[in-house]
Amino acid sequence: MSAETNAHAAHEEHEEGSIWPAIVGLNTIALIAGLILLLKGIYTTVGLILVFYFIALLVVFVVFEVRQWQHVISSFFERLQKTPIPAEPEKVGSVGFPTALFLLTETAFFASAFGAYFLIRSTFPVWPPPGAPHLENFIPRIQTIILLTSSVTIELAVWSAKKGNNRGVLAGILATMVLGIVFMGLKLGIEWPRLIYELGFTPASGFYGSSFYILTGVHGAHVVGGIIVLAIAAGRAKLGHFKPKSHGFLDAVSLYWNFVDLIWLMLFLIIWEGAFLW
Amino acid sequence: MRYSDFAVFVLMAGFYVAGTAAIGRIEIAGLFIKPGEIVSPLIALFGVPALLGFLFGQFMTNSASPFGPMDLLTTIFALAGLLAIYLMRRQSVLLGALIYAVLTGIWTAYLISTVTGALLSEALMAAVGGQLITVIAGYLVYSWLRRLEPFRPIHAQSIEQHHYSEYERR
Repeated sequence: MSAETNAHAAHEEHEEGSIWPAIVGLNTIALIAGLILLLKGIYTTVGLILVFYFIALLVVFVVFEVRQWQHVISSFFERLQKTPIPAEPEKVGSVGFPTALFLLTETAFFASAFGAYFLIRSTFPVWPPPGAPHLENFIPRIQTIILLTSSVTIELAVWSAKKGNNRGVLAGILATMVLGIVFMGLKLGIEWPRLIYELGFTPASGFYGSSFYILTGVHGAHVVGGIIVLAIAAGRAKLGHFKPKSHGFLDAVSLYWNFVDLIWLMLFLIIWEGAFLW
Repeated sequence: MRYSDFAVFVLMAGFYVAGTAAIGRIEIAGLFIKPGEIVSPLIALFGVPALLGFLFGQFMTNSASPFGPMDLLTTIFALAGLLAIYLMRRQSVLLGALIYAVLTGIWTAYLISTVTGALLSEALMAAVGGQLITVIAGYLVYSWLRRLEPFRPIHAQSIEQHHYSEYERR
């Protein structure tokens, strides 16, 4: 083994045992505490100190660690190319344990968001509250059809992976990405600007406004997250990582994307179609 | 749960919601048509996850129904009809789909006449007629889909299992 390889091995060992994640994680608590103290006006000075402490620590982290990033990234991709994707990772009834755990937290998150929405809605005698604008459902209808189509394209990608058709996998993933981007384009480019600038319906427009933007915004953030993960999947498809017996990552991506689609169906029916409004 | 089961569940729910709420209920020549119902015969192709997805989509869509909370009960009649499609998938999908159409059509007619005060006979014509047209269109979609490559193995497998169980029985 050459001296350079030894140095790299020692470096990799150092990366695995890095203390930085723990330090940054713990200092995030300081940041949150500082923001609460600052924004609530409890102890403004202490709050400012905690926020600046976090920023200073972040600067130290970047200065010390940034030199190694190039090597970390290249070694990550090197390892990635040599690592086959397990077709069936640890199982919870055929779904990988990390995926199942992640979806469980997502389900709990959206369940609590919908629960809070219905709970507060039930305290209003009339819904939508008087003075609230009428929400046009034309764009959400198109968005429903777009997301549904994207669920079909991601399943075509999975099917292509099972058939060993790598071009089909890439095409399916890219089509899903494009549909996700169009979905977000309609939301951020047409619907929200119209609501905010033409109708004056903002997150500050009472509970109706804040609940609308929180629910659709959080869902939108999940779509953006999905697009990023799809981009990673597209990169791996380009490298030819997905094989008929080895495409666990793509399965997990499709599961997540279908979950995001399911949440949208519920949002569409509850917010625009007025579900359970008797 | 397999990954593909969840995908089938979401797609069926999605097609129902998109077909019924996003496209909207249609009235043609006095017939009451819900385009989302077209996917009902596909339960014969995709099995229990599709059945559950269809019911979920229907329940959620009916929660925003112009007929009010009574429309939520439609899911019970739909379950009975969908079970007919599922259980008869090896004998006759069309017959199962027709049973589904008649069951849900009669219930919808009763619902319409109760909520709107329309004559039951007229409501029966509109609802059962509309459902029959929809499921026949759905059966054509089913017949076309089962010839496509992605769905052929599932269908072939179910036929193979059927022949095997027949052989076992003899």
